[in-house]
Amino acid sequence: MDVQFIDELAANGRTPLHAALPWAKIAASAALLAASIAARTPSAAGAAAAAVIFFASASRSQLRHAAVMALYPVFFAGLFVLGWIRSDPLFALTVVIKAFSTGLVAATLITTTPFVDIFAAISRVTPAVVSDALFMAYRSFFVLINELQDLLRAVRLRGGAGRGLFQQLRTYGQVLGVVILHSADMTERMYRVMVVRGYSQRIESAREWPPPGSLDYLLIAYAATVLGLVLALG
Amino acid sequence: MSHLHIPDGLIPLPWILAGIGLAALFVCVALRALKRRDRAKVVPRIATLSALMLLAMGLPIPLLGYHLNLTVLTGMIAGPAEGFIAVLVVNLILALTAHGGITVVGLNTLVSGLEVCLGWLIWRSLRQVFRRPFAAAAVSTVIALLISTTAMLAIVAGTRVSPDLALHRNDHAEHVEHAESADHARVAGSDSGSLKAFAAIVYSAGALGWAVEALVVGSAAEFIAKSRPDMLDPGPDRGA
Amino acid sequence: MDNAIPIDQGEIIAQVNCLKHVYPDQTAVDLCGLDFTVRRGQRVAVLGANGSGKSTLIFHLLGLLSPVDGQVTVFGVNPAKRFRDIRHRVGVLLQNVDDQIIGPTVWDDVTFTPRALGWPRSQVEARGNAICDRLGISHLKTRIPHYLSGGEKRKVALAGALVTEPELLIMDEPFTGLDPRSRSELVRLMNQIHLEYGVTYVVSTHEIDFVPHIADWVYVLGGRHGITLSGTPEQVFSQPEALRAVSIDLPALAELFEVLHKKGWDVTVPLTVDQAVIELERCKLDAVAPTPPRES
Repeated sequence: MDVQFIDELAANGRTPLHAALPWAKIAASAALLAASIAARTPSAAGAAAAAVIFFASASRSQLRHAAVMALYPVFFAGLFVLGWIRSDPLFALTVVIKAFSTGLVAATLITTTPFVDIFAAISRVTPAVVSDALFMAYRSFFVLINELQDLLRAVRLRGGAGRGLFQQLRTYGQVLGVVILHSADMTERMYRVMVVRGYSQRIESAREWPPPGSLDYLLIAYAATVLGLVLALG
Repeated sequence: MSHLHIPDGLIPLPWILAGIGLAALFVCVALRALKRRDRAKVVPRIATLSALMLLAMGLPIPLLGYHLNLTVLTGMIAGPAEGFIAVLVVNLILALTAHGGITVVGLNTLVSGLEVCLGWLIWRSLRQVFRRPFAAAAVSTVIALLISTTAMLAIVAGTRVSPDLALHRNDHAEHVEHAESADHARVAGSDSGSLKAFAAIVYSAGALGWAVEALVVGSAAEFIAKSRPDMLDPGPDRGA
Repeated sequence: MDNAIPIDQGEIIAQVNCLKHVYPDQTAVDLCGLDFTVRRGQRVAVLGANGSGKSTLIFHLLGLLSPVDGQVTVFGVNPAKRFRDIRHRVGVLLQNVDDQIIGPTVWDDVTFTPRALGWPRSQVEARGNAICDRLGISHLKTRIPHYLSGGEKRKVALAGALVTEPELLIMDEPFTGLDPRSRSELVRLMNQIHLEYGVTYVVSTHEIDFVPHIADWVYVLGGRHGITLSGTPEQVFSQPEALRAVSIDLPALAELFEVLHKKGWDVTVPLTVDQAVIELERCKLDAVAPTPPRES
């Protein structure tokens, strides 16, 4: 799970899905997610998955990255249904397909929409502390990841993390210890900044979006149709 | 796989809603506990801890499919209130990256939040027992993850995930009446068998994950204890 | 400097008297010795080696620390107790801009303080747009901060500090982490802002070469009494031994001319390249019509 890579895909991509408005993508994704979850039969789950793949293909070459991300829930869904493969293979298949399509919806959304736009939507329904922490966690991640990468590079240059797995894991622990200590200092500096810059209510994204275009309406209409069809299929 | 993130499409709607409701309740309790503290201090601390958990997940562990979580270490550093909100933040981001379901953010947060709370509680108790912070942190991690994994299994068992329930087949006309009782017997049998098989996989594979996490958390805790021992002594509503 | 405001003129907007601070780890910082005074319109540099107390002084001016002993006054109030009352009058640029940028996008960050202060939307937009235009970052408004270069981040942080049109701008080690070109650009920007907006600023730094370009008045921290020297850059840099006593070397240019002076050259120590050129041209003219070397 590489947040940095995902963020780069979302920020730098130039595909039709990147061009669509965040709220339209979020609405379409919600409908497709509902369709994937609501599928009750293997055929309905398959139809929903096909519709999701078609939706995700609008992100062009990024589809493969989203598909790889969607394999993670497939792996865990596979574990969940392992016991049913012999007794009820159709059920097992349905669960796995649903895990893939829901994973692909989320992965497509996040690889085509910057985190800040999605966080802005989430912040409308979460308490200020949670949404502020979400925004700041995202900022902190990109500050700390450089530090972690520098430390890991230094470890490699100084002879590596160790020969055996045990030693490697202990080295990772120490590296994380260093990053945690630095993050504590960073927390203190962030606190100072928030005080002097007048933090009181909540951090908001005032990002303005242009009026919706035909692509945005098309996305929502498509997703709504898929949801309707899946519900009708049962 | 020191702990599992439940994916979408597996858990029935009432459990999803219950998970969200319960997680929201715990968030309210945590926010209430933090109300007396300066928000300008609390928010950056939660944010950096969340970022650290996300960073740790990206560390290249040389075992297929394993990643670190640092939930227990978060509990040890931040305490239950800040720690619970930090795992909510992490689970929201994970759900967006298809690493755990969007609809089951509530349930996944409850499981991770349990690790945070247990981490804090057990660490506080074991610190007096073990001389070395490494041992106390490692044992705290294993116990917390063992219990949280069991809780996750309990959720799966409690939701009675079975083919008929999950696919809502008992509502359908194809369930002919004369086959109903035999069908139910088969489902009940396969249900418990599947759960046992699932539990066996989770505990056996999970044990290796707990060991990995315990080693890393133990080493990190030992390092911090030498440099900034005050960071590992949070009260119930405060962090480092 | 030509535009220097004499220390005994102008309204005092910040003052520190015999400040003593003790950190939780019992590290004590003593900033007694000379008083620290900032007058309206001044450009004040606080010079000092690492650990001399520069950041401690800055944090006290910002009300982030409370002194054990001594008095700190900014706009007539104790900032440790009433910083909220003067927040809109004080802009801040801290050492690590990555920690300072807290908005999800550049625009969110630049307009963070006026929105936190509850300004009307139209005013927020007008001020935000004006400062983005002024600092040349309008094209970055929708960008996500961590994709910006170090120089761009510094400009964003500066825009966030200036958006409320503060009367006092406090900068803690603003040159840290910048390449030479970005440093020169920041110096130019600081001076333009000072001229255009009439902002008084206090800048802590150990980048001694920039001090003559950015300050009318210099305080030197270090030694037993904290604030050991103060005066115009010319006055301060004419005391090389006193500076060396607190681990501060002269600017490279000043050091060169000091050596020449010791070798018998009839030169005064310049602080800027322009002054050095004038001095060298004078020497050239003297060489055409030679005069006997001065007794050293």
